[in-house]
Amino acid sequence: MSWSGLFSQLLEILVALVLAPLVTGWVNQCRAWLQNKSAPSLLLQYRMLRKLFHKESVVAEHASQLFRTAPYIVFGCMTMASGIVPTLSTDLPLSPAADAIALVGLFAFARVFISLAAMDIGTAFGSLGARREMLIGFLAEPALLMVLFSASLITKSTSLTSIAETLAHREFVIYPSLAFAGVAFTLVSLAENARVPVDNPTTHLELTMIHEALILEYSGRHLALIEWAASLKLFAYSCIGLTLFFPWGMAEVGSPQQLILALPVLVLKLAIGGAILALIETASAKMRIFRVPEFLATAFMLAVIGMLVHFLLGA
Amino acid sequence: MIFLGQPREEKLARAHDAAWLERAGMLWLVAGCLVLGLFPVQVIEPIGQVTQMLVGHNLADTVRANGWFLLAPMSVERASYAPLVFLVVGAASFYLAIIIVRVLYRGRLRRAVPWDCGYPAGNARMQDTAEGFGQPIRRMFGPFFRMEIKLPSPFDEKPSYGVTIDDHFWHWIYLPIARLTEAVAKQVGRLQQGRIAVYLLYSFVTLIAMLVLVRL
Amino acid sequence: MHAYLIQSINLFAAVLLLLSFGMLSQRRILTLIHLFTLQGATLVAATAVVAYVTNQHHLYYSAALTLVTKVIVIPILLHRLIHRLNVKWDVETLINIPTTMLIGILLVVFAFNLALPIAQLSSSIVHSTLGIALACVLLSFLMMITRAKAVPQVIGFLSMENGLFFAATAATYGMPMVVEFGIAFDVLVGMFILGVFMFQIREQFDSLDIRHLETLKED
Repeated sequence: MSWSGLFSQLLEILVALVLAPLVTGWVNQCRAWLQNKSAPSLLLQYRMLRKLFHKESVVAEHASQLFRTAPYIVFGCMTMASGIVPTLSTDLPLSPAADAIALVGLFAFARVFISLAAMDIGTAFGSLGARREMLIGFLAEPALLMVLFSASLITKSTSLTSIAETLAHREFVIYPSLAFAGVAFTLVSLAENARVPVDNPTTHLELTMIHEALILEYSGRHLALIEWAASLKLFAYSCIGLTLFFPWGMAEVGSPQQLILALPVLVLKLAIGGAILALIETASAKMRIFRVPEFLATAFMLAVIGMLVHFLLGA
Repeated sequence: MIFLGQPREEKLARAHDAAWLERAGMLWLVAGCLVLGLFPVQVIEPIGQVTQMLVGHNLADTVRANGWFLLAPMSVERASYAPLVFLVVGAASFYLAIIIVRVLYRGRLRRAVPWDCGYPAGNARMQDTAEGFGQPIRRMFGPFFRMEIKLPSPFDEKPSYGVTIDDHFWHWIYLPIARLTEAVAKQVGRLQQGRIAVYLLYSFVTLIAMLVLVRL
Repeated sequence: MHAYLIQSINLFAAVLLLLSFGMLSQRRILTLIHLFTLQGATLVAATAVVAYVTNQHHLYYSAALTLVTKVIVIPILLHRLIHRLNVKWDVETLINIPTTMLIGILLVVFAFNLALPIAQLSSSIVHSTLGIALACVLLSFLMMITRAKAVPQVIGFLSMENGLFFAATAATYGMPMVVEFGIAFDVLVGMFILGVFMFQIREQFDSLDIRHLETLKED
């Protein structure tokens, strides 16, 4: 482990913490533009976080300690996840400690805790959200793993930094299997981040909620942590997508000066990705909850076909 | 059965947790998970001998080469997992969250009734049960089970709800086999009269038949 | 450059398969037509690239022919058809969609397996995509089987023709020109006949549900 590696690792986590609300803000802004609304400020997410941190927390009468600990755990998981995913540099000391499979496990861990916390209160909405979240989670995870496996078949590695390095520095080759994996990944990340065809992040109707129903009881600092964690999750997922499908422009081992260039490249890539996400969200309608398994089954199938195509075409 | 939540019956409100000795029984499972999760390298070594016998390949050597804290079945480039680092960094990010809250946080904590969406009459009877929790998944895999759901109508005096879940294979494979066996057994059972003379007759007939066969 | 072009043919092949799966899982009839148009466009692009790489001029003609029939004329006809018939609601399927997809994936495995020995006989540079073409044909067939309404069945039929066309391109650089013209003409005529047929079905039964045809048999 070198000092420059440690530096880029810390910088990466810091950038994730700072940039994540911005990405969410950017997606919201694009959405508003596309829907002919006057767009909220790009910095609205930061203001909301500050406001929430300054408010008092209202906790339900019979909430246990678990309810109050869960936001910290979820936030910690998402911070760590954004440290594992290579965003700025592939010189990450954390990457041998956890590969893509451990990353999926980390997301699952956060999901279990937020669901337990939602059920802790004992209201109908919390457990409704928890069971829907679990339904989506257990369908999305295998699909996500399959996507990661199709990428790792090409690079012969499940470590995200190795995947990024191999794909970025090898001579440019068009991989049809990655096209399948890309579509599957888009579907999975829409479901995992509670975006429109699966869940509506701006909904106020309790019966249609998934993610919002889970966090219905949270307020004040706990809600701030959870909102921040949700932004971090979106950021981490976007960065997984960028790593797998557009890995160019990251700093390498032994050349930390490339970090200076890597940051604007990352911002540019995220801006484009966020705009595309907003476009998808605007163009699609929220589906019924029992269509979601179909949606995620499609993602899983596509990822599997990606692997099959890899074996057929050898590319 | 419910997960967490509030007691659904009056009796349950007075229920108390099991004694600590009883609860300590579960520590075994926790310890097992922790050992597996934190020291996979040490666990793989004894398991490696089994795979050596079965498929003639042992992961333990490559795993041991990377040291006791890093699990890398093939090589570090291909796949790796360092549980202790994972745990430490996880704990560190957990504390980061606490620190962030300490720095930014200015409020107090207040207890209030949970959000009821304009229906204050909600009580513990209305929370999800394990039945409800599993409902989406059960419905998704509906075609794979033989499910009989009894739904009450809104006008029922005493509404009752019940689900019986059966296995298709039970009806397709096992029950026909069971019926066939029963039918065969019934035929065989006819032989069994219970009178000693009849049993002796069987032996006698068998003996005669054998002797005839020998003669032929 | 040459290598990229061959890779791009593989990519187009993958996109064809992707679109086939998209059509299989699609419930809306309008999106189904859009997907079909896209599939035609991909086929045109793939054929044109094959033509360029292998310097086979007749493939340009067949690409142009596909462009005119599959990307322009037939989608317009289909749009008119559903407008006239006023069918815009969800497509009904006989088997639920996840099961269909599951069967679809088995078909893909089967097709890939089947095509491997055949593809090795072919000397074409894109012979490995033969499996994909075969999979497209089978998936379209599956789509025809599982749909209860007439219009999606017609689209399934047309998309099957796309798969066959791509198979010919992949294995032997396309069929002779006369055959291709013949097929294109056949498809157009077939389209018209099926269109007329659909009006007849609707007039007879007030619905496009082809299960009604079952009542026509003599007992």
